[in-house]
Amino acid sequence: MKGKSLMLPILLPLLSIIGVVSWAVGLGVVFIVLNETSLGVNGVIILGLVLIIVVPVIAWLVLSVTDKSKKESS
Amino acid sequence: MNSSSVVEQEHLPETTTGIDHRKMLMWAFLGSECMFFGSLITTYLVYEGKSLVGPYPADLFDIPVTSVSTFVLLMSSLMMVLAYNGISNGNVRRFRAWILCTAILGATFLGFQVFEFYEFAHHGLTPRTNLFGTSFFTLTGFHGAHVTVGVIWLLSLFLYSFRGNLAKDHGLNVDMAALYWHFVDVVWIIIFTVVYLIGVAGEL
Repeated sequence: MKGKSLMLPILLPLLSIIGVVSWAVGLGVVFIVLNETSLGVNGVIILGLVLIIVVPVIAWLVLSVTDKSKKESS
Repeated sequence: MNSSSVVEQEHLPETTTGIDHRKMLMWAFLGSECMFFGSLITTYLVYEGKSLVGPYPADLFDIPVTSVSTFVLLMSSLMMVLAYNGISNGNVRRFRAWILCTAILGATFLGFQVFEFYEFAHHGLTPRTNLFGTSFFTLTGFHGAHVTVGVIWLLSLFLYSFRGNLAKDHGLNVDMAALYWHFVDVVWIIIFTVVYLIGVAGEL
């Protein structure tokens, strides 16, 4: 039990570090590749703007769908 | 004394300042961070325009791209407010959704920084090239490191929300992460204005 509680403060940040590094480096590489295409730097700007819009919209949709199903079940 | 004020008093932390010691420590830490970034920004300004060899800021800075990355970070602050609102109202699902958005947008900002650093290195600017390179990479690199720590903190809170009770102490753990995140955001606004906008405008 004690080992389990000690694991949590190590495991959670470790998982977070892996998540951050993979997303940031992965997206950085995508930006570099996009910049090399005919779109150039406009491709980077478009992808950035798409992410700004898409990420909150997905969160909002997920919340509204789960809220709706929760109301229906109750 | 009415019953509601009795309830309020019961929830107040028993400290000399009336503020929880952990939150007070966070404010003190942010005060020290102000001095840290203040000294880095001042160093950049002192060395501005003193590089003997290129490339210079106007040769490299792409204001539209950096504007988008700044907007990404600003939007992440809005998501953080929504996450804090969720946990303050005891709605853990809302908190999870918005804090994950904050972390994703924070990591997206880091992706922009990876791209920018790669492009600068590709055009011959490294920390060793000139005074501009040294002061620029030190300042933006330290800011990027702070954003990285912030995203790790946010993701840890997201994962911890499946195990612990984050709503206790009026969501103090989330409150402190939010304070740190807004601070990092404000610092970037200053860096963007002082380094990028004034840097390019000064050389036009």
